[in-house]
Amino acid sequence: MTKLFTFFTLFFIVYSANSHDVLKWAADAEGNAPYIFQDPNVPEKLIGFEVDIASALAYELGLKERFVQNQWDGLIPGLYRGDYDIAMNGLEITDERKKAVNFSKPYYITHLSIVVRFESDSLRDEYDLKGMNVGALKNSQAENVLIGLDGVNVRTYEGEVNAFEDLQNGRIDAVLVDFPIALYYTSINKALKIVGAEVSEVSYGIALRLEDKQLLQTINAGLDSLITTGELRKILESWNLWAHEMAEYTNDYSEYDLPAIRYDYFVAAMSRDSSLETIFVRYLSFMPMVARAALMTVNISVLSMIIAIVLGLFIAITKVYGPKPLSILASVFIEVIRGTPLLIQLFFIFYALPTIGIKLSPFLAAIIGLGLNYAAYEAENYRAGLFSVHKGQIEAALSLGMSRRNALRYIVLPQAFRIVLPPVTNDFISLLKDSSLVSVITLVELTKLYNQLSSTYFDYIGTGIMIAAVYLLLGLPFVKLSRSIEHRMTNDVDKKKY
Amino acid sequence: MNSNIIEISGLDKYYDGNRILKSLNFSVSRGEIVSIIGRSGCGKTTLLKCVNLLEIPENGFYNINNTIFDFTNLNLAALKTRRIFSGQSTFLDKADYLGYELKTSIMQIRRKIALIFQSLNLFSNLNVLENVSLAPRIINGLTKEEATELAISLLNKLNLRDFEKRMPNSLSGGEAQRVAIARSLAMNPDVILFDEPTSALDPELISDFVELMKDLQSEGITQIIVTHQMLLARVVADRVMYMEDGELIECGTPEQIFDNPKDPKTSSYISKVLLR
Repeated sequence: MTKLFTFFTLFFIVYSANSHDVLKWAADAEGNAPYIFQDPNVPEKLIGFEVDIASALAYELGLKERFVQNQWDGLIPGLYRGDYDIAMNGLEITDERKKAVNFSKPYYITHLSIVVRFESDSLRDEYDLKGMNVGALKNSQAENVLIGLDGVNVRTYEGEVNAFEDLQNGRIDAVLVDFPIALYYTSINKALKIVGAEVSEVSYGIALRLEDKQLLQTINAGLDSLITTGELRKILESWNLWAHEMAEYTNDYSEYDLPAIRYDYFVAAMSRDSSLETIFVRYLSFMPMVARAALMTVNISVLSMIIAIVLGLFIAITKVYGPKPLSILASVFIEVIRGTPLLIQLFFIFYALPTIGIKLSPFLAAIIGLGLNYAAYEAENYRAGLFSVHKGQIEAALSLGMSRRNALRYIVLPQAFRIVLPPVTNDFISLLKDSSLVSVITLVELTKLYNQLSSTYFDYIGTGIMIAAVYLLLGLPFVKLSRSIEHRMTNDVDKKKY
Repeated sequence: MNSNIIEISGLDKYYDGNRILKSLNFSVSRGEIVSIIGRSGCGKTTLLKCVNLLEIPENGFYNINNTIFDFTNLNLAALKTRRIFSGQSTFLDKADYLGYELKTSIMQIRRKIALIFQSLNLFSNLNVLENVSLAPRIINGLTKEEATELAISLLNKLNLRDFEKRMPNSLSGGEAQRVAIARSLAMNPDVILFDEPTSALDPELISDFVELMKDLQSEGITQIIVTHQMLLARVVADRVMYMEDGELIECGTPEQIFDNPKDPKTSSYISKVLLR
């Protein structure tokens, strides 16, 4: 027990160790070209104009940078968990967000663009959107703008790729997004185009915790020097993102134009022919990442299942044999856990518990969340198993003078185990897939990897089949194991039947 | 030393408020075989469970092999609610309500008074050998080797050679019954209680069973047998008891009960079952 405690304490300390010469910055690397995304040629490498700015900023401040992956929706909660010090991922500076975080001065100013199908020519500006179905990203400034326009049917999307696909398929008539997204997507998809009008102004800022006043000054000073040295302009030019807004903002109207090497690299990489061979080579290059993600999935699933099996047994026994108050408590636990979504439980453990001082690493939070959740289901499985053991079996044991505990241990539990094995295996397979939910608390497992890869390459079918196959392959050995145990146990009973 | 191995007086047992046994008095002397006859539902099985102390009576004064139990005015329901560890009744041992010392002596009695259930209740997760060797191993502290040796010798004695690895559900009625008897004998009991032992037996096996009971008697084991087989009840027993509606109506030698019953209730029952 003490050892276990020490282990967790160490884990905790190591995890929350904060060194002062590191700039920990967070973003969601889920295919947001040109912000931060996987290099199409080297999928394990993250690139993007925000990656470049973060590096330049860290260098300017004399700090080492460290990237922290975090779900986009959770970027601000993650700041307050203390997982990182700044968040930089296309976060528009809005009054609403300013209530929750401090923003640095903008590192990029741009506008919203309207994207339409290539053949449509009736649209000129945002006022023509009236009566149309228009897509926007969830929680984005574009969404607010569209809501402000009367008579537009707004459809919100988690990722821009889905919005563009719907546009291309004709499900919606236009998409209103930040200019960089529009520029990059239309550069590789000739079926779509940008309408000229610039809608609204968008400023991206670096988000910091409200209390980090000192760091805010440091970051602002760093950004200032990136502007005065021309470093920021160099980065943005290379990504083909320097535009008149930035010229006005930095008061830098000079003419020289650097080649947009990063942009060209992206366009070239994405417009390569998609022959079977290149696709094959690309999938091959995914393998190390898939293996790592699969290992994460298996680790999480196996560890949480161990928690679920042990804790579930404890809960079931408490419920069936325990003192009344504890028995009621066990029932309440089971009902609450079964009756509420796993996703909310994970969010609660990851984001709400730190407010009362319990800060778990993403991995620990994941296995505890899944483990607690499945413990409730396992407890009910066990209870059903216990009750299916014939009453005569325990009577026989007691009548021989065995203690109740021995009767349980040698007679009731082994018989219940046989009955419970198939549903528990079933739950494990289900847990393997439910482990995909932990991507919301920043872990990169198979499903998160699928999202990253598919949105980087716009290849949903191929990567989808690949990742689904990996899940299937992961589950099969466990099914086989359980079958063979089951088979052995029934064989024991039946094979000697003459 | 008391010549009666079992003496019980004023035995009351209730199930869900129904009085199943009504102020029953009876005794069994050492080495004796007693048959209990009576209609279904008259409380015979409950009586056996109370003798084994698998069931705890609401009233009753026991002297079993010179161990005294006084269960006068025992309110099990109240004890159950008073206990914090109530749990769900399917898995409860009622002796758990009674405090550690009483529970311990009850467990001692159970070990010396074996109960062979009508449905035998062999442990379905264990093979024949393990069924027999489990109790001596975990209760009497025998090593695995000692317990196995004991079990094999008992199985051989009961003509169950080569049955060690068989599972209970692969056994015939007679085989399963002998395994259940071997399981009881492994605890070296003073008394064996049989509940309807012939119900799962082919008729031609009954004489083997009678022989077995006589053998056990010659080893000094006291036996009580609940049965509907009048012939068996008569042939095997030193004394026969007739029970009706939770009461012991009459008790006497087989000749007295079957040929010359004194109580009209007994004679009415006997004349019906013997078609007289």
